[in-house]
Amino acid sequence: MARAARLVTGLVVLGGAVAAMGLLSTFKPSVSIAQPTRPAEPAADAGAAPLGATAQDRVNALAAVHSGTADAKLLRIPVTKLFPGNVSTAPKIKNPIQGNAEAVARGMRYFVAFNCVGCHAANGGGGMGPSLSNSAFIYGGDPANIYLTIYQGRPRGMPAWGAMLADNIIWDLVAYIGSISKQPSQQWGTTVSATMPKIEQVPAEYQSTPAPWNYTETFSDGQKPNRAK
Amino acid sequence: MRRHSVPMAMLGRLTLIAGCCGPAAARADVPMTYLRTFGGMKGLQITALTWGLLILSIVVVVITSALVLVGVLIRRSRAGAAEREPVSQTGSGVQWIYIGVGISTVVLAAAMVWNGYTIAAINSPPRDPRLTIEVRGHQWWWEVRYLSEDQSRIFETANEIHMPVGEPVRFKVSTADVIHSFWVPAIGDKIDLIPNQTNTTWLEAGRAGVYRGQCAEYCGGQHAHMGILLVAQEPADFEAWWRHQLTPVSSADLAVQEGQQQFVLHCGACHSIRGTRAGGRLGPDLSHLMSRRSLGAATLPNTIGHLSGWIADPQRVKPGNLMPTLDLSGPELASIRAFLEVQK
Amino acid sequence: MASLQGLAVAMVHRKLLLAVFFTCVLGVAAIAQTSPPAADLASLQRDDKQWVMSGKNYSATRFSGLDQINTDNVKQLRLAWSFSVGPSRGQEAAPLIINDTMYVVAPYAGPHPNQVFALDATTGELKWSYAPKPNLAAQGVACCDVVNRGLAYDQGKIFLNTLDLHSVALDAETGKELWVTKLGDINLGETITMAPLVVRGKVLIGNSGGEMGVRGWLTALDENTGKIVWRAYSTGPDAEVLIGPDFKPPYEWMQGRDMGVKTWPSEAWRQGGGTAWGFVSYDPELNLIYYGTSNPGPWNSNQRPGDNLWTATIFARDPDTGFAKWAYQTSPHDLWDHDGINESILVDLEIDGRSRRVLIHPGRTGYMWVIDRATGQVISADAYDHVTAYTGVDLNTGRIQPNEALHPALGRTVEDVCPAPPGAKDWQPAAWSPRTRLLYVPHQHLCANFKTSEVGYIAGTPYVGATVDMYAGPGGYRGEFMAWDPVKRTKVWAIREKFPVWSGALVTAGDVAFYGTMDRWFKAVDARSGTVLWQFRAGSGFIGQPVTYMGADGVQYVAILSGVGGWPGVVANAEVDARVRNSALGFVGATQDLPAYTVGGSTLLVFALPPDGAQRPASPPGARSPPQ
Repeated sequence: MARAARLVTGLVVLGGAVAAMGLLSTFKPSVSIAQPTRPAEPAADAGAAPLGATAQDRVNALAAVHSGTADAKLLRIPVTKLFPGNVSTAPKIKNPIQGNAEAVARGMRYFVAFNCVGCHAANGGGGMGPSLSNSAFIYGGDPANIYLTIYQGRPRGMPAWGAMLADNIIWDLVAYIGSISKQPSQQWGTTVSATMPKIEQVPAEYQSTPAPWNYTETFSDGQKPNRAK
Repeated sequence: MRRHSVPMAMLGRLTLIAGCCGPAAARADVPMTYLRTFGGMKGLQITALTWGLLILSIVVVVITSALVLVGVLIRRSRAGAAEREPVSQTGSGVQWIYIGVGISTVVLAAAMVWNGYTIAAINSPPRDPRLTIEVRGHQWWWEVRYLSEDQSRIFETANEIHMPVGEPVRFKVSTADVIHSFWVPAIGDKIDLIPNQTNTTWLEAGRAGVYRGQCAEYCGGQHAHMGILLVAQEPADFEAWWRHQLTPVSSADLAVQEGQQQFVLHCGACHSIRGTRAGGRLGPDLSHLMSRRSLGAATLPNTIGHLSGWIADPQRVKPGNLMPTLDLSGPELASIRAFLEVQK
Repeated sequence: MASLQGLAVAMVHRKLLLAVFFTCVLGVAAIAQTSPPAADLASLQRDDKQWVMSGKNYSATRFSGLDQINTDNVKQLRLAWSFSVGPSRGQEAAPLIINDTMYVVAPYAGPHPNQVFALDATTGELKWSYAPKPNLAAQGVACCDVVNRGLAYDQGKIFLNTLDLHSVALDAETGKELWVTKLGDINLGETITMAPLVVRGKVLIGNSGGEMGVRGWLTALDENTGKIVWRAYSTGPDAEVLIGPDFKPPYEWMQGRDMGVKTWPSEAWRQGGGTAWGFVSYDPELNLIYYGTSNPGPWNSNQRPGDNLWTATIFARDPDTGFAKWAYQTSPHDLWDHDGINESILVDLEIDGRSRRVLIHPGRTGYMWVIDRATGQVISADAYDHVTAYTGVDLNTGRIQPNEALHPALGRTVEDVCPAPPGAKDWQPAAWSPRTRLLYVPHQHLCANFKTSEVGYIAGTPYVGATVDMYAGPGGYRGEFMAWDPVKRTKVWAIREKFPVWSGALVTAGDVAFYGTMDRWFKAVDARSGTVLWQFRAGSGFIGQPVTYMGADGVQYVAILSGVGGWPGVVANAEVDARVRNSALGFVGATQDLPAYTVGGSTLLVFALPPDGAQRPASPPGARSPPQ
């Protein structure tokens, strides 16, 4: 009797297993339909551009209505360090994802994907655009300054990315730039001479890292990079 | 009586399930048919091996179960006999063991040989494939590139793969980030996508149809939503599809042109559409988006409603995926939708 | 009485007739003065007292018949006067000297970008200056410093191209603006840096932006109205590339219809590059203009399988219609940013016993092409520097043969690619002396590491997809000034330099060749032996083009702009980090020590022999240079 029970239990388990396999083969992934996070503006509102306008006009009309969600405090960030009356009320704005290693890694990916690397070079050395690998920033080196430089563009060639890139992407880039600009510096200014000992970064074709200043080699004076020797 | 109804119910369910594994069931929403595939020589070889080993296993189980049952029942019928049954080594008992081991060895060896033969047979295609498709895995979508001797026919698309029926197609697979695995069960076997390496496999579709595939190697949070739709078409239809994919869409409609501007601005940094200034490569190519059957790597059906929902909040559908929730107003979204609607 | 009256009438008639006659003569003379523009420039180019186009003449030989300065007295050369053009960015322009007035253009920086100056060529007095309306954002799409390679002149008009794609005609006497035409949009990533050329009343202008996903073109504007007469693209269908039934490519792999579409993946030719930022030459007898197109875009060749026509191609076109007569692609499916834009110097050479009308094209690839300029057939192509990227040029098929071992597969770091992306020689123009029959070639000696990566196209941003790191080639030197014999196909002599020799070359009938180095030396060498006879240490390194002319005082002057920069020099004149080798598209790896030698400058330097005793008598006026 016990043996029969065991036999039956075995068959039941076997049957259950087969049934489960059969069920799995009919499994459909659950489908969720997302809702927009912002309620759609009524169509009659400024969305309808006057007839005869060009496509660009209509794009501009929509952007004018759309207020955006950028932090209003950012508008008060000055681009200079000169304050009349010697009184500064510049708000201190931190990078919302300060210190997040994943943000730095994402920022590195965006740095390449959005062609920042084309003007500013791998590891931010510069070229068409100024270097981001040192602590000198033309338009301010605070995270909020760098954020605004990317968002607004700058007159001498920095494109205005604000309309194209979402805020969190720009903050990721700011985090990455913060990481690559941590140059080692023994002095306040920079001395250059043909004979003094210098360092250079391990070049990017050998190493891909969001913290390139951790990997240096002796200056090669225009010859093959020392690492290759 | 209740004690016996459980196994009866089980048996009933078993027959239902057996019905589901029949020929009509290999549709896009029923991808996993272990006992039947629809891909040319590769599928046939694998299916034959599967059936063979299954039948073999069933036979073995039946025989073993029968022997066990016989052993149990015989003992039962002699329940009244004396309890003391000395264990003795008579020739007949050991013979059973020798016979059993002998048969098992031969059968297992044969199965091993068959297995090896099948692996060798499916390793390379029966004839040199005319078409090569490059598949590059990303988290969590598939970049697909169609190669051709004539460079001007080379183009890229994403997630939905078309191939001609009745001829082997070479697949060269690689990955942009982590390990993935490319698998369309109804057509063929899995191939892993390994970083810094290009693997090569081949598939052949025996019948036209839409086959559901899946990434088969855990690759991060949205691994479950990294599906594939493999559309096998008759050669003439496939050629027509190819030519259509090469032809950019153009429209004189002002609303569509405005939508194109919005698309280039809000989407072009990551997405490309041939024939426009949108050339981003971080996300999937969206040329002829509306000609595809699904969105988000077989996550959502491709309807305007689903598309709007995806664009409005991709993080809700596939949390953690690389497309951010954009800051788009309703009219801007409607404009982009108007443009994408005509990308047939 | 009647006879007197008759005589008076006859006299009046005669006077009338004479008046009519002289009016007619004057009218004819006036008409003769306004004969087709080509005659004017074509004769001016032979006047050695002037320098009317960047290359001195339509053949771009940069040879002057002046011999007041010669190998004996050049060591006494000294600075006569100097002039600052303002911004201290790369100074690449060649000064033009017409009617005793020198015209020079400054880089696109400072308060007056691309400012044009007209100076008295003898005294250096400033006559007028012209500043275009600035658009500072253009700097953001200029790949290789904000340089301008110079002006053009014809019929009393000076022609200027600004970085932000405005073409301007100025009155040469007064500097008044005559017309302005906008030729393109910086938001597509394009700019203009080249020195235009006027041929048969048309100003020929090419765009820049091969690193920005730009579609390259050469445009002809009517010199009087500024309207576009024709535009020839470098990629796309034949109708837009201006390839018609007269087109005869010299090799069969360039034959076919719409090859500018067929040799690209679907739609990729729209961002294909092929910009025309180099110099244009012209042969009045064949009536053909010659120019080259840039690298294909992106640098990552894995994204653009196919030959990628018509990038890295030398075109021969009819200047009136723009239609191509032949084209030769120097680097099919280019892997290493080896543009085809280097100058084509038109000479007649004696090869294998017959006189051949050729063009000499010192390639970025490291090969010195000698090409029949009527047909495009390659006569010879020999390596003039260390080459590992190619195994040679197959003269039967005309195709350069890449070294398969150095294939830049995606993500693979390829080392020791020689020549590096700037090539064995970049835009810096060589000079040809019909006296020595030698080509004087300023160039570099670099190799590179090269690693490709996927790149997306975003209009107005770079479209490169490569991590590059350059360094000195074998021997450790990075530049060279050499004399090359194109008939014997061999290097005759060479002077090695520490840095790439990025300046142009000049050679004169005094058998003196001039060039400048990036570490501030302007040198005069004996054209036959290569001995350095004289050198001058300037305020900043040289990347400009030297010219020579005769002033109103009968003295021969040599002029060159001093101010380091350009692609190799941004590490010295801009905020670029010398410790990051991959900066400036990898060039910093090769010039990272330059800031220890020089920073940016902005000075026009004009040299002459000292006035007392030591100079030779001035050449008789109207002296002509010997036939080439």
